[in-house]
Parts: sequence; C-alpha cells; structure tokens
Amino acid sequence: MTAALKLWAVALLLQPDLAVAGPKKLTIVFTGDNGGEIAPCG
Amino acid sequence: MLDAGNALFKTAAPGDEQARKRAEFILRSMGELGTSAMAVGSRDLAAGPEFLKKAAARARVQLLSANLADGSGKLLFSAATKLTVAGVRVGLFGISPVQDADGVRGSPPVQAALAEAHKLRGKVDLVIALAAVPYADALQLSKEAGSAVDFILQSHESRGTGIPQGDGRNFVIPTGERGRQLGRLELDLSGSGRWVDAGQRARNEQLIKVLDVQIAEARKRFDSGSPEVKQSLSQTMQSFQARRDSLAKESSSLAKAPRSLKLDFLTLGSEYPDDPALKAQVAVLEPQPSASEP
Repeated sequence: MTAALKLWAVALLLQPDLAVAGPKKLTIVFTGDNGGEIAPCG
Repeated sequence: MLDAGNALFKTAAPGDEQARKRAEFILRSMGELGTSAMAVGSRDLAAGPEFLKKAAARARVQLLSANLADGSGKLLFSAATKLTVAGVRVGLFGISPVQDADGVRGSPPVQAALAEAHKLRGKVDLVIALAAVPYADALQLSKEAGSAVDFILQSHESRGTGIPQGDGRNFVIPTGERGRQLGRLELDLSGSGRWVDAGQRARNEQLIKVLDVQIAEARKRFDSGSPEVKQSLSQTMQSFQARRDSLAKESSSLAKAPRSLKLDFLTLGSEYPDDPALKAQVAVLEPQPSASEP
C-alpha cells in the first residue's frame, strides 16, 4: 500500500459527492503537506 | 479536490533527478484526480518555478500564489480562481511563505491574502484560502480577514490532522500530512451569517455523557460518605453540573446555526485497495526493499 495509491482510490470514491450534493450543500475533499511522499506509509 | 501545497518535494532544498521525477508523478496523479487548485508552498519550489510551472501545466493542475513574484515584481502564478461546484460559487486563492531566493520573492502573505479575499467576497458564495504558509501566518490571516474569508486550508509544518480553529467568521483547517489522510469538509450553506462547527456539537455531546457518568458516580459516593466527603463531593457535583449545563446550552445554540461545517479525515489504511497501474509506476520510482534484504 502506498500513500499515493490510497489517495487515488479514496479520492475517486469521494469525487461524486461534489457533483450530487444539493445546491446548498457542498463537500470539499483536500490534501496538504504531502511532502513528496509516494512511499508506503504503513 | 484541493491541495493546500507543499505536495511535491521532501524538503525545500534543490532536488535531484529522482526527486523531480517523483514530483512530476505526484502532479500528474493530482491532475488525474481532478485537483482544482493547489497553493505553491516552499516544498513545491525545490526545482525552481519554471520546472513547477511546466510540470503543472502538463498535469493540468492550477497553481495559485498571490504573493510570489519574479525579480521584476511580476507574479509567477495566478493569484486566484473561481469555480462553481454543485451550484455553489467558490473563490480560491493561494498564498506562499515570505522568501527571497533564486529569483523568487514572496511578499508578506497576509497582506496579499486580504487583497484577494476582498476582491472575491461578494462575487462568490465561499472564499477559500489555500495557505501554504506557517501556521502563525494562517492564524494572523484568520484574525485580520474576519468574514472576508470562510476557510483557510493550511500547510507548511506538516501539522497533520486536527480540529477547525476559528471564531465563526472563518476557520483555519488542518490538511493532513505525507499523504496519510484525505480531508473532508462537509458544508451546509443553507443560511447566512456565522459558521458553526458541527463537530463541536458532537464533541460537546461526548463530554456531556462523560460528565453524566461522573455525576452519577459522585452521587453514589455521596450517599454513603462521611460529612467531610459529602461536603467535598457536593462541590464537585456542582462543578460538573455547571459544566454540563454550559455544554448543553452551547450545543443547543450550535444546533440552530444556519451555516455549518463538519471536518473529518479519512486515514488511508489497508481498507483502501491499490490502483494496479499506479502501483506499477510507484514501484519504478521508489523500489521497495525486499523482505530478504538486511
């Protein structure tokens, strides 16, 4: 398992939330401080 | 999908060829994920602004920084962008740390942020700062911006996860670290006015449950205690009850809020499967030692 792979899988699952949320509701998914990480994160 | 910056390199020092390849891979993955924008942090500039601009353009990731300029004072990246998602108009701007090296000058980020926030406010429903700056700068922006900004997504020191910090006019939001988490901010924009952290209500309710248990326990001991113990327990129970009442009152007030946020983090554990194609690319870029190696 790697950080990048997991991020990929989870973000794809969450992306549809952005599109189907009601007009007054919004879900934002985000990352930060990845620090060049692609290696296994345990 | 947004990124608060400091995504690409392990340090701000110039990276080698391998580090640049890894940075390009990360940007490409972010582009394929549909990342709408990313702030430029100090750990994104390790290979210089030209490398970053070209790699981001290839990956179709929008870079934002309202305060990074070249030697002539011209901004190196777009300061802000607007997009509409699920009927909500979102204004985004980026800020970077103060710096003056290798032809990149970072002016004071809070001033630049305030200028962008005021430009966006009134034109959008939501103003979000992608703040690749020290936490102290993010807190200063929170204080000075008031309701000109809604959320400040901060990266710089790899602070990891946490709870939203704010007074209801805006909140500073932690963004995780090292790709270990994915942040999720659920917003209800049904009304106007101050923001309320729905997570605070949940935390209050948890504390109320704990206090209820402690009060019940104190009552039991009170019934069988000596006069001295009873006097001490009476004061304790009064203190617990006052705290409980205060939390219940706050929760009731939070429940009536017209605009709320709920922050949580998905920790990327083994329950999330690998993408085989990405896994193959990672194996090339960063081979893992086999179990038999010392």
